[in-house]
Amino acid sequence: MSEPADEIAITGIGIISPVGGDAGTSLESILRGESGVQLLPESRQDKTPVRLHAPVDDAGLTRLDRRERRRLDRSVQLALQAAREAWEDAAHPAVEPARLASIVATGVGGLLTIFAGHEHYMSKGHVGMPAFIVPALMSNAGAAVIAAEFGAHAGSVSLGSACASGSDAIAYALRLFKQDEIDVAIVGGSEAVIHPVTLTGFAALRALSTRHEDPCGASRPFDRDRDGFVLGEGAAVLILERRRHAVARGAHIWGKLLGAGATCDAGHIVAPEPTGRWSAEAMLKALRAACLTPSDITFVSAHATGTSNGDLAESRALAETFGEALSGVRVTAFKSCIGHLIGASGVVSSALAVAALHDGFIPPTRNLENLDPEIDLNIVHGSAHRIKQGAASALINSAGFGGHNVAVVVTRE
Amino acid sequence: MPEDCQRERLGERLKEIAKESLDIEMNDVTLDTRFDSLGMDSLDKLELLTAVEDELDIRIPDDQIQGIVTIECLIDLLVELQQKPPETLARSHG
Repeated sequence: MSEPADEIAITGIGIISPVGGDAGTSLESILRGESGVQLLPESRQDKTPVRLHAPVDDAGLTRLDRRERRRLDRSVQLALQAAREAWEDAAHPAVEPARLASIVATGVGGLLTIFAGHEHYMSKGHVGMPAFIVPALMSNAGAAVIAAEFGAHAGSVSLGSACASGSDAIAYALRLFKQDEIDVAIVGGSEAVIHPVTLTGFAALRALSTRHEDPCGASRPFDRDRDGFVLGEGAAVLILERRRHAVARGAHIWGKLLGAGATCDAGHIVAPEPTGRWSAEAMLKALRAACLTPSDITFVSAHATGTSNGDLAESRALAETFGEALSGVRVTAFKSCIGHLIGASGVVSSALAVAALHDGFIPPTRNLENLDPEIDLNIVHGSAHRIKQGAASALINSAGFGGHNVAVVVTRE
Repeated sequence: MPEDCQRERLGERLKEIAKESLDIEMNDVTLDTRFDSLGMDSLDKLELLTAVEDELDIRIPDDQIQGIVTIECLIDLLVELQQKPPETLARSHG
């Protein structure tokens, strides 16, 4: 177990999501069980068989100037907005630049810029092709822009493990702390890929909900009538800091990052391993790294996209992980409110989990009207559940196409 | 047209192109204002030059780009290029 001074404190949170332009608004909306799912604008509805999405309101991009909006891919704009909020929330930590790292993950990267560049080329050829196209579309752009913003000379890294990317970024940061390479890390996840091609592609996999008559009811993890996920966009950034560094400067501490664990199904490229075996192992690794037992966990933020197979496999993984302690662990699914933020989801969920622990409530899972009879989990729904005073921890579970399983454990201060 | 007039008109046109392509206010910008003093980096300069090439149907040689640090530098180059034979100036649109 780490000495208290070496523990990793979470001193800043930034979120931009389909239910709020900042962390406070996003958490309040999630606690009320509000939905950010909408129908696509009418002008775009005929281009794709699925007409649901969970977009970010552009009015929330308050921390970007016009040049940044012009030159940066949307996913990087979202990451930068969240990073600036998180850094301000952490009260601008003073840190030696060679001890500050930027780790910002994305599942896909600058996809919207790629499509825009392709459209430009098909209509005008090379004439007038913007010079910033390549630096905008590259998947490390978010990490690099944020490193430049804050002078993160210890390193700038972007990780890609599909929907587990954000959680992998958190796990990577933990390793840098353990190797004594850094004192502060800006860790983020960001995704903006709502486009007819991605909607059509996911629809071809039969992965998306087509509950068009009830958009706010479409994302319904663990419900008997779930029919897929809703594609969303957003970003979250955490400022992680050695506890001694945070205490020395009198920083507010939201909570602590205790551990992470990862495995790979090493099997089907999109379908999860149905028994949940390797997902369970990732969660157990995270618990071991955190020096906690399953019964120490107050709640689980499930990956829970709302797909038939995915939710079932995860429920089996949770059963294997928690065993007899399962009935005492509450579970919640943030995607019921905000949709699936792909590479951003692990950090968004971790950020919401830390903030929820800090405030003393477990957010409800929206749209759980009839629990799938094959799923036996203690899921918070209807309204937020108050957490008793005292020690409280959360496990954030993530999974991604490609068989990625990553779990993160956080605790309140 | 007298050369001074031509240069002045070209200067105003370049300021309009800069405002449109880079969204930078050019009201207080003079011909000898350095681009970097306007917060423009190398990518912004390339954006501006691409827009100028597109607008004026001209090709700016790569080896001349580094020396273009003010609007006046750009005017000097464009005037020089415009005095060259047409087939050496126009870009391929293929």
